Amino acid sequence: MSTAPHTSKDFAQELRTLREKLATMGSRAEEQITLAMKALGERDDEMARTVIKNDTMIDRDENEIDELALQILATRQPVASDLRFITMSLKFVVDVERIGDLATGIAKRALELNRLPPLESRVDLQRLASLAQKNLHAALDAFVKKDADAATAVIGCDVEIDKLNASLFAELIAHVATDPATVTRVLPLTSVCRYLERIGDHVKNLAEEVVYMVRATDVRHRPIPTPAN
Amino acid sequence: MLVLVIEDEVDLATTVEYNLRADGFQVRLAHSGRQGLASATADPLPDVIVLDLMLPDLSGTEICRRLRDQERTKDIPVIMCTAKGEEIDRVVGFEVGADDYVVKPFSVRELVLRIRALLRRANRIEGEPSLIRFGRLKIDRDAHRAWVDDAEIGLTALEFRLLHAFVSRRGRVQTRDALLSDVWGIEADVTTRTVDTHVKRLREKLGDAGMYIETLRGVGYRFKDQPDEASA
Amino acid sequence: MIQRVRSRLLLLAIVLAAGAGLIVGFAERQHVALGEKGEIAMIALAVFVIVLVSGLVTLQLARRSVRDLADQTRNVVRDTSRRVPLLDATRGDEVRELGEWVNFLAEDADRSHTALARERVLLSSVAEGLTQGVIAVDGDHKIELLNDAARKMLGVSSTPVGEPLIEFVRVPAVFELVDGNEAATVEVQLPNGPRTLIRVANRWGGDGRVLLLEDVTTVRRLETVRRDFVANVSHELRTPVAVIRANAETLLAGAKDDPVMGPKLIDGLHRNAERLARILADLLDLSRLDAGQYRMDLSKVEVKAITEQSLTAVEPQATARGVTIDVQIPEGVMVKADPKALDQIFVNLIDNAVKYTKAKGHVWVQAHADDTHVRIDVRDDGPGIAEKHRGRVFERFYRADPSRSREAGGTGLGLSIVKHLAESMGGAVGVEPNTPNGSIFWLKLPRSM
Repeated sequence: MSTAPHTSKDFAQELRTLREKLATMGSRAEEQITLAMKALGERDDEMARTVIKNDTMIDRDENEIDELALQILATRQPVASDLRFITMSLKFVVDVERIGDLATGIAKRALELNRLPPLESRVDLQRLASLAQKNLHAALDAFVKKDADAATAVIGCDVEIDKLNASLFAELIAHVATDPATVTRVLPLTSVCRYLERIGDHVKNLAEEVVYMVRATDVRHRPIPTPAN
Repeated sequence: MLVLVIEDEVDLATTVEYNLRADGFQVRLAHSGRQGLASATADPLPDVIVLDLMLPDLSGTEICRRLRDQERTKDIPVIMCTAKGEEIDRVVGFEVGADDYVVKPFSVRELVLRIRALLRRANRIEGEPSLIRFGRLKIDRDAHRAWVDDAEIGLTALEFRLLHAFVSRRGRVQTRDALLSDVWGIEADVTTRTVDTHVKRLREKLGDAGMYIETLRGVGYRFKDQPDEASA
Repeated sequence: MIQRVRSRLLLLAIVLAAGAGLIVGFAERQHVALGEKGEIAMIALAVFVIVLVSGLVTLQLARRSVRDLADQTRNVVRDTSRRVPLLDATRGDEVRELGEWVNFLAEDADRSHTALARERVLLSSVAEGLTQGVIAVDGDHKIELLNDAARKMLGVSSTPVGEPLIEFVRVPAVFELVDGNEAATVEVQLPNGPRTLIRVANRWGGDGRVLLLEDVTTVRRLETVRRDFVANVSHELRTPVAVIRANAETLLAGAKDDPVMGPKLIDGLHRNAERLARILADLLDLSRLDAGQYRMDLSKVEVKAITEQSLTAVEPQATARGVTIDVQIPEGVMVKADPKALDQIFVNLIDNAVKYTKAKGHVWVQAHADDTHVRIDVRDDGPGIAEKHRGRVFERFYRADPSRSREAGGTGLGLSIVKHLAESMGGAVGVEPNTPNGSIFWLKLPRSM
């Protein structure tokens, strides 16, 4: 049983702290993607190394959030929407942490690529990155504002990311086909492409988690309605 | 012995060439990064490379890295001409791979001496090891190595130069500015605080021998005149 | 009021006593044998009635006055116009005192209220007037205040007061600051916003915190510019000094007796000393221009004349390289300019054109006038300037092609001086590509009628 001295004010504060930590962790992940892509685009080793170093902060965030969520579950025994929020937090945190890892992966590929001469033709990975970043930002916005509609919109956008990823990947492969000597440079880029697409997937998960948190409807594993065009 | 000088400032290159030839070296010149790389891999291979950091087409660090990446050139000693004192630590050492440095404007004589030292280090020929012993400290000036109680300590080129500056002027007070210009060259963009940082680092690395370096508040530093001298 | 009650009661008692007396007297007249006991009973009855009636009357009177007071007070409370109520303080002592006291309290409350409202308006004006962003949050991290500047920096469009801070700001550093206990400062790059210095002050009202946001983008940019400039200057100066030092050292070591190398080294000394002097002179010019110490003597100047005058400085170079200079400026075109400055600009631009065009190339100097301005173009047919460099050629020490410009003896400062001079005269400069190849450096100056 929960001990008497804990007031509902304390409980509200714990929930608030949990929400804040999740949002700031997400913000960190956003920043990591930005820096990693910049390190890649500007061939900046130092920036790439900073991204790799910062990953420990995201891991630390994950641990703190897990601890707090479990503590709340144990001591407050929340129900209904609070319970949904806490359980979804545990999933949320995993997706954000994976995004952080993927950003670190991009930074590592950047370091690899910086040791080689730059690739002449510009394969527009930045556009894929912008899409993923925009979606992540929107998902986090939806989270803090508890806006299920906005979250649903984010889920819908993932299709675009998948499509762009497929076309960029094809472009990269074609590049190697026409100029086999560039394979050492193209391979890391295909990895980056893949990472960005996976970031997109995790962002979709985040959006689904938000919808569940707000509406208690599980939209995972459901087909996305195609827009009537 | 063949020296390759990669320097885009033609005047400077020819003057250095003249001095090296006068000292008995053979010289090849290159005035751009690409030219330099091509020349470094051409036969006969140079025995030592003098490389300017600021080249118009490729940066000196990039060139050094490429030299280190290639089988043919990875063992050729490289001495960098840097213009910025703050880069020294980064440039010389594991990151970029240069073996020694001079700061522009440098003394040509100093450059020649360092080239000789590098060659001695690389080939271990001619001349006795130039060892300096001081109490628990042992320094090999040419090899740029130092030992405390016969255990070798790892010093960067800059730290070694700092230590050498101390030891060679032991007993005398050196102001931070004097150390700055000795070790970092005539510098504008490195502050005296950098000196403090590096002295601290050097002391840490010297361990017990670190107490040989004395701080004189408001004045500077001094390396003890005698190893068993009582502290001031 | 009590006075009144008392006098009425007395009157009533007298009347009742008189009444009782009358009844007893009447009974006696009628020879009703009441006997002693009957008389006592009669008097007792009379007293009982007197007490009862007087008690009831008192109660009624008291209730009425209290009700009056309550009504008045209720009216005061209900009076939304918040004007100082006029409790009728003219009736009786005690009630009057109470009434006065209530009046006093009401006035005081009103004064406080006005003062508070005024303070709030003052605070709001101050906050909205600041260029810094201000955010005040309470102990639950709900926003109490978010001024306009903060709104812009954070990209907030709605009214956030009362909402949780996390809905508008997600920067981790901000929350670390807010959760901490001391005043602290952190510098962050706001997403979609400027580079900002965020300072959190000490706690207010127990739990609340105030955040101040300062946009430091410009400051940092200027710092970078300054640092780059210093680095560039020291580098530019270092190179000729390196040659001078090396050459002098070599000569002293014995090369002065070398018939071939000796003169070469001395020539190198001379050339680099000159180069150093030129760089220093340019730097001095720039610093004077920066400080506004270069006084422009504006007068009516004929473009053609100045152009031809400036050619004398450029001719030797042009002839040596076989470059032809074609001046196609009509006579009589006048501008408002400082003749010396204009000469310096032309020398610089034409000299550049000659230097950077190929050997045996062509340079044209043309002028077009409209109602207000004259535009002078210096065209060359050399390799031109790549687009990525075009925006930056007027920057100090900016070299589009470092090796060539150094060979040509350039200081890297010429164009920035040209820009400064032109702007000091109320004009402008720029560069465009020439077709099919080469560059057009243009200068625009106000016409002089």
